[in-house]
Amino acid sequence: MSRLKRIMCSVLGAGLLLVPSAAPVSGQTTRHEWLKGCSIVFVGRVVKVGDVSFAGVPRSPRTIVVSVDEVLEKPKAVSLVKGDRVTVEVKDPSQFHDGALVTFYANGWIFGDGVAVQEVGHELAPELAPVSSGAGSSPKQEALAQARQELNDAQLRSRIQGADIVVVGRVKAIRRGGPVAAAVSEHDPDWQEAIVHVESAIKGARDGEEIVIRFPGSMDVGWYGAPKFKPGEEGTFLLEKDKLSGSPKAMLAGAEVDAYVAGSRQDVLPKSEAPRVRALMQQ
Amino acid sequence: MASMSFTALLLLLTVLTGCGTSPPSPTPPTLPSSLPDPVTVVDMIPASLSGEENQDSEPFLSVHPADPRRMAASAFTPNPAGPASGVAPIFVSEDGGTSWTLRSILPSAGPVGTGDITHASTGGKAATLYAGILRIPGSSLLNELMTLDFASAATMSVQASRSQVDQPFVQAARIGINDRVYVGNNDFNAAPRTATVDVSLDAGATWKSVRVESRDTAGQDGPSVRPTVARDGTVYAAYFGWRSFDGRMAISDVVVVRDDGGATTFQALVGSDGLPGRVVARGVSIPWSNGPTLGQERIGSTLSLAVDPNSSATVYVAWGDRVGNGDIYTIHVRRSSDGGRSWSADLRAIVNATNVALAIANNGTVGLLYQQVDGLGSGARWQTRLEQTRDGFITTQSTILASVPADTPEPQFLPYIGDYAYVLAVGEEFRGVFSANNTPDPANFPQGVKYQRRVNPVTKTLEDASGRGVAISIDPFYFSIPVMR
Repeated sequence: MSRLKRIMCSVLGAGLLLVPSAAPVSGQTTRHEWLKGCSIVFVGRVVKVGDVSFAGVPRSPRTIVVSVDEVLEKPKAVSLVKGDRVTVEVKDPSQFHDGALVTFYANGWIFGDGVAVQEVGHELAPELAPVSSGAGSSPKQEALAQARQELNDAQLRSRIQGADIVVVGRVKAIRRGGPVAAAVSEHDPDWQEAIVHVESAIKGARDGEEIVIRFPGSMDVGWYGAPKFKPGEEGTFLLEKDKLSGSPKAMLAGAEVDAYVAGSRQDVLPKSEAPRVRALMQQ
Repeated sequence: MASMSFTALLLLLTVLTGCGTSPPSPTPPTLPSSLPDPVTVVDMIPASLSGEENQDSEPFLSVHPADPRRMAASAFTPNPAGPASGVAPIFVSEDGGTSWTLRSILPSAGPVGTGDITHASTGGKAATLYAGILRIPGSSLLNELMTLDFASAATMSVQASRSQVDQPFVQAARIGINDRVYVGNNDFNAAPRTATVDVSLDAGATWKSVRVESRDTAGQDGPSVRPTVARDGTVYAAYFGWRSFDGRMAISDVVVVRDDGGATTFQALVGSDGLPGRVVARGVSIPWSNGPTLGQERIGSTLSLAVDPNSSATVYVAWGDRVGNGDIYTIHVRRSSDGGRSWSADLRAIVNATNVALAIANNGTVGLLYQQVDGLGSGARWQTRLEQTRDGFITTQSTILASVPADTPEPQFLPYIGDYAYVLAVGEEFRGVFSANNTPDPANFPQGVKYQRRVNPVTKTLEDASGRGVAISIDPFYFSIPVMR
């Protein structure tokens, strides 16, 4: 595998490859599985089976129109509020009848004048067990938030387990470093290196040592989403040995050392997250 | 009346200028409008994504030839569900561009969908779409894709795939009973002669990578390789033959090759050195700047090629380089009327512009789309223009589609508005796409504009479904302009 190939493959893929599967939580396995695979969760009442809610959505026996009662989770970009009519392409239309109140776990299908989604899973609304209701959020939202937090914890625990080192540190300096791409391309990563002082080692490092984190300095779209570092930046860093750039070693104080990478933005956490990381590591 | 005025003016100018042999005018005389129908400009972001703040740059457009109401478009637009969804979206219109939906059918899982993407539609009843994408994750992973219906929910199938490839540029046409697909690309596997056209004469069932560079290079060619297909099956391709490169400037030839009748050799044109390919411009200086350089955009490889659909001997090429007279980047347009054997001098030179795209309508009218930075500093604006000409740019009809602030919003990544925009001729229209600052201010769109997403016309701001403010960002815009008669 050529140098450029290794570089592009590893970094462009890093965000996905490092996303772990979550450990199921007792009694909520199904919901957690749905949450892992969905981006929109809402409660709604079935208006009509076999219909669609806006032009451009192909009508079929599996499409149903649902009136939104409460939006529990959605991407920020998506416009979805109470009272909207949504088309849901369901897996088994025989499970739905007009008037049924249902919680849908879904993914976006067609975005136009309205929203059409494809079902990942569903449950009758009362099955989303209410917990204590805080100000500004409904019991359903709190229950979902709790499930999402458990899922996030499981995913973070998995990332910690997969990391070679986990440190709390501060970026002392940024320098050019790493291999130079063999080909001239607008997608050149422009590798740079952050010299990080380890204030507190959580896994696989020593307090007080310095480490090298390699990252793409390029503004190119191919590197959008890859973590970038600045002098003075502090954080809790989940790092792997560099298998991305094609050059696993770096020079530090005249010695050859391992170079590390942060695979995604999820691996660069605020310094304040260190206690949570330590707690999850001990579980 | 307008048409008569145009004819009279054209005759007068032809007499005065000696039948088009004069040097290019920086600003050709602008003709009075003879456009019979209104110009259409549509912000393509759907209403249900009114909360989005993405940098939807580098747009592209395909029109279904048998039913031009059906169109597919793309940009660096993320799947709203995020990259974990594993699929990336395209925009689809089924009403001639009045409205657009977003649906995810591309096999790519990047934070902005795919890497580079272009596509072309063919077909009769079926809305076939061929696409070339850099798939994520991947190592500059070219995927050549196909679907028989771009409006369907099915993920496009992969017809061919290989790594180490840059800037796939897809053109396709039905010749006889078969779809012919041409994908220009810069294939690092072929270094040092990297300019390549992938050819399929059987609707993507089989592919052949044709290395179109025949001369020594600086280790590789430039990123842009642009094929274009005439109705009679003649295919041209243009590329930047990099002859030297110092990291900041490429000294490049602009080369055009031709393939006749599906021979798939691209050796129909021979240069004065006896090698395949005619050099349209020799040793031009092309700045390579992978940082914000021109209105926050990077520069380094803008190139377009178009053939007259009814006369395959007539072909136009346009590219960007640095002339050195204080310009950042200058677009040049040249023409051949003898199948690429000889080329004109510059018919048009446009300073500080990029994202050039050419198309030629049935009546021979040439459409030239570009985006130009007008002004300096905080007052600078990105102007998106379509010029039309029927006399080799002696006279033009120029339409400003958008004039937006060039210094806002800040770039999220590069390209800021795109390494390319696109225009094609569809019957009596030029249709195209460009990306620009999406501030809903009518003053920014002299021809008018339609927003699908929610806007507040009083405050000239964007809003989400709840009425909360949404930050200005870069959106893709569709346009349609009547072909000049």
